[in-house]
Amino acid sequence: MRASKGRLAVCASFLAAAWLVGCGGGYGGMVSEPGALRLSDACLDLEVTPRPFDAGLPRPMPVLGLRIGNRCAHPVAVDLRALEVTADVGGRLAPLRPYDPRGELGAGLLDGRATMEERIAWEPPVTAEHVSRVCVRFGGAPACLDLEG
Amino acid sequence: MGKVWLAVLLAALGLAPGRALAQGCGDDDSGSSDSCPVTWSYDDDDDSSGSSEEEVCVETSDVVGLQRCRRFGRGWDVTGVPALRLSLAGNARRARVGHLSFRGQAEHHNETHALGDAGRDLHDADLLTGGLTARLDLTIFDYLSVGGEVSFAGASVSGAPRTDGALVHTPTSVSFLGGGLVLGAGIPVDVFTIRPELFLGGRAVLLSSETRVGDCVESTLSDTAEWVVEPRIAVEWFVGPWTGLSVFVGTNVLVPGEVNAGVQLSLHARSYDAAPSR
Repeated sequence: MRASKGRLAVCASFLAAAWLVGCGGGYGGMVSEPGALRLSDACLDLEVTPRPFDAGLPRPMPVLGLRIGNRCAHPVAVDLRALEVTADVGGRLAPLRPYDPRGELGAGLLDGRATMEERIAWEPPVTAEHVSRVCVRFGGAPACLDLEG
Repeated sequence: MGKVWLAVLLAALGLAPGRALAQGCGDDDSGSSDSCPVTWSYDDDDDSSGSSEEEVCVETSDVVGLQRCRRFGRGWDVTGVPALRLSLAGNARRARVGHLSFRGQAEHHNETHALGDAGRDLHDADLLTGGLTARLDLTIFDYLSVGGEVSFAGASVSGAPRTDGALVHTPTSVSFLGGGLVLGAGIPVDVFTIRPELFLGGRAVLLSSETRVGDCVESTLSDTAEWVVEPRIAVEWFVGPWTGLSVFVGTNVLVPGEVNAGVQLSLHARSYDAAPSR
């Protein structure tokens, strides 16, 4: 009787450990920050959030926090260089390029149900003095985000 | 020839059956048998490597290109990360030992007695053993896997005391120490993966006995080894992307009627084993 209780306790501990470890991770959906832009494709959710300017940057440029969650249960390639980011400059959309002085931006592989977060500064054309609105295209039509106010 | 290979395999896994492990009564030469010279060393070097100061990187920015300590992709880019799976299983095995012959030695009063036991002499030649299995697998080509496994299992046994001259020995327990290669495939179905597998390996079977000569009683091990070829089927349920709980059942085709079943907890280095579709 005592031995069977012990075995039961071991089994219960085993299942509890499995449940705790198993439920400890895995992307199940994003809770967006206020003012964030939310875009999706077949597997990925992208959240774009304006971030404060970093004094280490060589000139004024918008900094965007990019958070991606993989809803699929298989790995998905993520290439932020391919992300189309534009700025509204005098009523015209001017392409921005990622600030990447060390050439480290590249394609990566995001595991199934995993999330990632990067903060990237985007260089406007030299003629653009101030960027107050950026637009991001991720799969479908571009969506825009006001950087101030 | 086969046993030689099995011995090499088990030795490689650190599971080689030793000779009898009895410590003889009246064994008083322990002090003189130490033939290994001992070299005493002292750590009197003040500037040893352990005290070296490690530089701690202090991050100055979260922005890619300005970060000092981190590169883009670190923490999420799994390119090149192998799909390893580390598992621990609790299993029950209906093991058959009736066909085995155990060999060992017992020492009593500085005399060595050869032990030879036949599995069929045990009262329970069909044993229900409980044990633990640890394994490490690597998924290759998306849906195939190759891995290594070590296991331990044991069961109490009984048998009529056998008398061999002045020596009386009574079997008390049987232990199994196994190891080998596991080849498998993974068929993803929603949050489950069905795994047909084949275990190829061997095991040492150790029979513990109580040996007695007069009033001198010792615990003695005798052993043997055998191959195991065990097809299995397992169903893994991913309770989380990196954690799976499996049930499995298999049978050792070299010993008809031997069945192995258990529950296994697995931790995955890649979520859902990095299968390209699910």
